[in-house]
Amino acid sequence: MATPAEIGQTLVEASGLRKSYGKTAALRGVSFAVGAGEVFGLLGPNGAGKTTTLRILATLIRPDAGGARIAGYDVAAAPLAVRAHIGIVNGGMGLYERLTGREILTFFARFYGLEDGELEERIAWVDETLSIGPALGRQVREMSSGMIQKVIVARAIIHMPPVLLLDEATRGLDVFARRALLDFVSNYREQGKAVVYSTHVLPEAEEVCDRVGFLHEGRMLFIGTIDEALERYETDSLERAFIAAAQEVRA
Amino acid sequence: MRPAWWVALKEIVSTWRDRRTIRNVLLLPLLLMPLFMYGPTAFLGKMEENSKASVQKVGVCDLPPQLTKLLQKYRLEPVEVADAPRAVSEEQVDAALCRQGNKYVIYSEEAAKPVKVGFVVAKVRQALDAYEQQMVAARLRQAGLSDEVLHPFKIEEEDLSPKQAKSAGVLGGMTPYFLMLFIMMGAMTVVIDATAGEKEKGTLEVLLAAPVSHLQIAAGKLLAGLVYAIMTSVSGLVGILLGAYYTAKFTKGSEMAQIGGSINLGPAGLGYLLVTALLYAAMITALLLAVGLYARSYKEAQTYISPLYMVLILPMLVLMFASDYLQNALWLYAVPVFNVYLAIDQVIKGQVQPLAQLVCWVTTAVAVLLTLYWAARNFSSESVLFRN
Repeated sequence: MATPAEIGQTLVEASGLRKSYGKTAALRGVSFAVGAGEVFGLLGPNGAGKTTTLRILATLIRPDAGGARIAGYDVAAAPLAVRAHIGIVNGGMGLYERLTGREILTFFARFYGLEDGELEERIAWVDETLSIGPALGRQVREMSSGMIQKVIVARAIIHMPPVLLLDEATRGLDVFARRALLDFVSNYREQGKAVVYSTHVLPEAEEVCDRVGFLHEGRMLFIGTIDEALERYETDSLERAFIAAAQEVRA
Repeated sequence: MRPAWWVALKEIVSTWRDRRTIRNVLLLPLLLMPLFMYGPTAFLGKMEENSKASVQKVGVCDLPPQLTKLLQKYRLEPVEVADAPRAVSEEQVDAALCRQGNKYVIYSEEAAKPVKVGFVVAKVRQALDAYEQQMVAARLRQAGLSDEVLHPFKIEEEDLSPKQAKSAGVLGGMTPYFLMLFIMMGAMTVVIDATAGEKEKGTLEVLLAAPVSHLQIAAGKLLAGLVYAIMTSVSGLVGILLGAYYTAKFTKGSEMAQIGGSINLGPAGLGYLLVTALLYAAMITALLLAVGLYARSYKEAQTYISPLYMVLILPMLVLMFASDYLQNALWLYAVPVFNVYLAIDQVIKGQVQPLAQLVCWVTTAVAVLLTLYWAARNFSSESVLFRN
């Protein structure tokens, strides 16, 4: 696993993000940064604000206050440039049922300027990386759920984005598909990419993240390495550390 | 605009591969319209023919012998009845004719059985008319007068409407209505799946996170909706024309042939029709796009679109019966939906007013831009996209 000292330039930067839905405050000043070659775990229970944070980073929603930059581009001022530098996967995502894996990859790849030979090379690369060969000629409605998830990830990385945003990406996956995804995340980091890995399954984060942020009720309670979290909250599991952090705030 | 084209292509291919869509939207209008148009006409024609050829029982009471003979001449079998209303209600006879002093009363259940009994009552009336004419002629002869005394002048009617209007018949009245209906059906096929369907399946979020402007996404989906709206309309219109052709062919020379009607557009008429239909299709597709995005699921979208459907259908139904009263009200050509119906109606009846057509096009084009802008805004509106 990479240590903070090995991490390169900052690719994701969120500062003071605030967002409310009516009277409900979803984010209350969230800040964090993720560098190249780093997997940052955005951890928290359902309703903590993880999805809202990732949607702001993906330019799908706007913050009420604060700001964020992806690969140096401001999410509010340059949304198209930001979108060109991210790949996004979430657990509730689907695919176009009546298109084949190849058609879906081609459809999205074209938005990133990939065509002809370069596109074929990139499809070959995602096939090699995720073993999606059988899905390429098959329509989504004929694929297994594990294969669908692989194609969703393939679609998110077809343009080799420097920043990958994963939101509960292992939700509903069987053990094989989950393992394949976690292995892929580790490999992707090795290629110098930044990954924001949002999950409420803390053992997964322990396995794959370099640093984690504890997000609870819209507040970032802690940011640091897993060892730092265990040391600070004097416990032996990330789950206990998270609970301790939440209790500390309540107290 | 290449990304818009890619989005359109994706929607077109995706919809094309849904066999139910192709069956419901493209094949059904083609097959059902001829059946719908020719079926009732052929059925009624056959009923009329059978009724004329066969002999039906008619209750009679206290009739003069000449009238009874005339009833037989009109292929009715007179049956003496004591209680005419009862004989009719117990279905011993299809109708009954009784003399009460200087008055003849026809008993029947025509309102309840308009077709079957209607034909019999018509025969009874014809026999009565013939009997009345015989009586009048005899009385005039007795008075030394010619029966021309009853007809001091002749009446001739000449309809100066354009040839197309005269030949349009029911087909002409139906065409604008069905054309607009088919356009909406075709657009709906794509649009619900391309908005609420994408939301429900979780694909919209990914598309919106791609580096393409939301206006281009809306334009691509609009283009796909337009393609299916046009395909459905062509399929439906071919069905209508086939129906008209067969109705005219099999009912040639009868009153039914007039009901069927025919449409002769010519190149200019076709041009007017195409421009109007295209603009209307674009407006409806953009409107459905904007509304469809509010729904969180396919099912919810249908509940939004059904009332919209009614809102669009009602003006069409009103105009179907009142278009000739409103044809010259220029301001109506600036009212969306109304204007399209009236403009198509003009073209089909060969009464094109270029200024009215222009007002319709400009107004509809403005409506297209406004609804497309609304749709594009909704593609960027988090309160619409992520509504809980």
